[in-house]
Amino acid sequence: MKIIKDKINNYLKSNPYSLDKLNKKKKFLEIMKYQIEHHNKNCKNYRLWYKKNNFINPSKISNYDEIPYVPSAVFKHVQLKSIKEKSKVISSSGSSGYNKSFIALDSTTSKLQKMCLSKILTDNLGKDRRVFFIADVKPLENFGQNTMSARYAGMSGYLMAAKERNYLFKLNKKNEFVLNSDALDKMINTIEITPIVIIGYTYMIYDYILKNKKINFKNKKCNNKVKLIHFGGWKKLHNNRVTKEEFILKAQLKFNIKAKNILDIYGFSEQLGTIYISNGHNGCKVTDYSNVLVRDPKTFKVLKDGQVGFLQFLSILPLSYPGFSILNDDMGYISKRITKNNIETIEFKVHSRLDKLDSRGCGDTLPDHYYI
Amino acid sequence: MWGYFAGSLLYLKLMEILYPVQNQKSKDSIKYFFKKKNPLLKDEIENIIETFDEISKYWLSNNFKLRDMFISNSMGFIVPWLQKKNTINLLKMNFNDYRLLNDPTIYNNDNIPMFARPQGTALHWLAGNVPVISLISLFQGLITKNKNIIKVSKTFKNLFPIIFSDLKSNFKIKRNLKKTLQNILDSIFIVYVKHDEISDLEFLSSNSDLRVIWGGHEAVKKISELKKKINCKDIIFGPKVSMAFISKKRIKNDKDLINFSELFVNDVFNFDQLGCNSPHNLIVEKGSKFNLLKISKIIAKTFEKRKINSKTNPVNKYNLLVKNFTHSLEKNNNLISDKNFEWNIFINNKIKIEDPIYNRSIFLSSVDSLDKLSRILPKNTQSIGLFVNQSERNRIVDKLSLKNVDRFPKIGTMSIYTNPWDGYLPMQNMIRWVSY
Repeated sequence: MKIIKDKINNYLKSNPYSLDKLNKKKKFLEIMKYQIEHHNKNCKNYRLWYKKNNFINPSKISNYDEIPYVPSAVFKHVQLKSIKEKSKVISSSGSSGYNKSFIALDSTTSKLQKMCLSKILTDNLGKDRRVFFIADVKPLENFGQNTMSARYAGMSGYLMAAKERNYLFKLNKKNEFVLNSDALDKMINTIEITPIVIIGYTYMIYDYILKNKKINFKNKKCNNKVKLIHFGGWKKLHNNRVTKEEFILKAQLKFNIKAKNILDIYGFSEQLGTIYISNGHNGCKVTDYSNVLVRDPKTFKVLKDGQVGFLQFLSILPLSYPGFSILNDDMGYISKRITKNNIETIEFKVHSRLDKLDSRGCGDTLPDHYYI
Repeated sequence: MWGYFAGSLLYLKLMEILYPVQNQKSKDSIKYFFKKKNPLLKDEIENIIETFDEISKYWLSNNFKLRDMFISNSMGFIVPWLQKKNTINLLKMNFNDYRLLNDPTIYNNDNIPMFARPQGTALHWLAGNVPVISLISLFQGLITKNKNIIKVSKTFKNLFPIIFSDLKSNFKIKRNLKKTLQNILDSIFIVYVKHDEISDLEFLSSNSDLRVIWGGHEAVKKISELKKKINCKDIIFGPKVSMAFISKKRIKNDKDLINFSELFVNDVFNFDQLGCNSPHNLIVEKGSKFNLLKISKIIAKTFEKRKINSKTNPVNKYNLLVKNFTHSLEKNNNLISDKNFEWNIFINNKIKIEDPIYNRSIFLSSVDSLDKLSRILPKNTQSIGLFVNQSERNRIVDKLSLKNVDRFPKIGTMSIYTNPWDGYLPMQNMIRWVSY
């Protein structure tokens, strides 16, 4: 455990988009091999699955595509722990809401995640902490000792980069979600001069801020360094036929902000810490701490760039659970791959999330707890 | 003008009319359809049978341009279904004397004059898996002389309008059946409504006389709760699962096992396992000469030989990866599968009726006795395909039919849509009886 932990710590010392392609591959694959051995040794269920499927001996792995992947939905059905001691459990409902994922987090992995997230945010926001305006209510500390909701967990990570937190909404006496006028006034008064960050779940930013006519910046020019950060998926907005383009346009009109300063963050509970940031209309950028492969839904072979398939995410971080190689239920494609000064830049776009099948004919033989 | 209809004029905002005229702007046509007389009312049943037979021949002929579409959507079964021999058999099964579907005929043995009238307008609420059952549903509505509205699923939105438009423009029928064909085509109306357009759905529901509902639990529940006429009849084909059973005495040698596999592959591969009559579990009675591994290897050989034409469904593939993970955690469980999971035989070391996972996937397990099987059968079991000795059949059917199982077809014939279906003789429920 100590060896792999040190390896990850060392790896995290480099900046998120700085390693040359060959060096990254060498170091990254080394950690992946350690990861496989670590979880084979410490997680019984992972070991059973690995053995029964006759997966490759980790020492023989020489390419990213040889790394076996765990479908993310497995975390909804099986407890996968690679630690003996008690751990925090992140319970995420994901997008479907049918089942919750259980992800065992110990302090080591949690620290690594924070370190990684901090490095990526720093690279995107600069070293100085900023004033944050959060499109949410102040969270209540009413979560259990060992359980925290994914919404809180997701949010709290980004707030590390805040020197001041202002919540744009509050609950009134009837427990209704209402605008916090003090915070709003403060945001309006500072947006021209201060490089603030406006942050929140994508659907909350859209529903409660972009569509809210009461929030009006009266033609104020937004500071060049102001960032609008949103995260948490598009399913709710797509259901209402709102596209990313429309979101960006509405945000630009509302805040007078440049598209490149609108950051859409892609990430998921099974690999907290390794996030993927999309600036404006660009794809989500892959950092050195992770890698993305796109697999053919028919053959599971890696597809050419541009072709749509299952997204496999590799992350150097998770030690307390076997989540370092995940096949997500999102479909996507590599939208950009360029190599400049030996540094490879990869961007991907999420095409769609797999949905439950259409209702079945002479009977929906689909069980309620279908995996997706 | 439209006071005749249940519901307000605000309805029909987003309903898409796909047939008889596609993209028709005016929504008045559906109101007219509800209002008009049943076109087939005066057609002799014999003419309808003949016309179906002619349609069957046309769909089998080289003149039929949509053959590939039929094949790719696994709709070939409708061709023999429409043949005269079959429709007469089905009619006889439903009615002692099917001529009662014409005007008054002496029907029952007590010489009480009785005859059948159509219910009126049948609304076929179709689901998105096996299109051929949609056609069967419709043709049963037609043969009982109902007007038929088909509420298609998104998946097959374009399929049915194309089929009937083709019949309208390209099918040349004998002169004496021309009028009947026209009346058949005039008795069909195809619409698509999004599942959340409740007001439009309610309009359809509340003006229909018969609702034939095909769908899963959620869909059936939602449709059942829509407003309807107080005397509207519902025929519900709800969520069902099917499996296959081998008795220990039936397989005596390798030949029996190979014979079974060659029949069973049809049940599993037809309709891509999407039908409620498709088996997802294979239960072997303990004490058989062959163990599960041997049985699965023989089945695998047969599966391997079968060509797969259908498109990959990423949802199925993803779920298979998940199932592979969870299944592998149980000691002595095994999986024999195609390298890309195009077919899969999950071997369970303990008896368990597993939920369907699709993509030609079978869960194989053994059971101590029929009693044990009857205790663990899901309540919504539709069919149990039997590979048993003739002498065992009656006992098995007698026992398991008490557990709500509706069908016990022979292995190899599970996918054939027969009457009765889900416990119904559907045509009987599509008419109302008149006595005088």
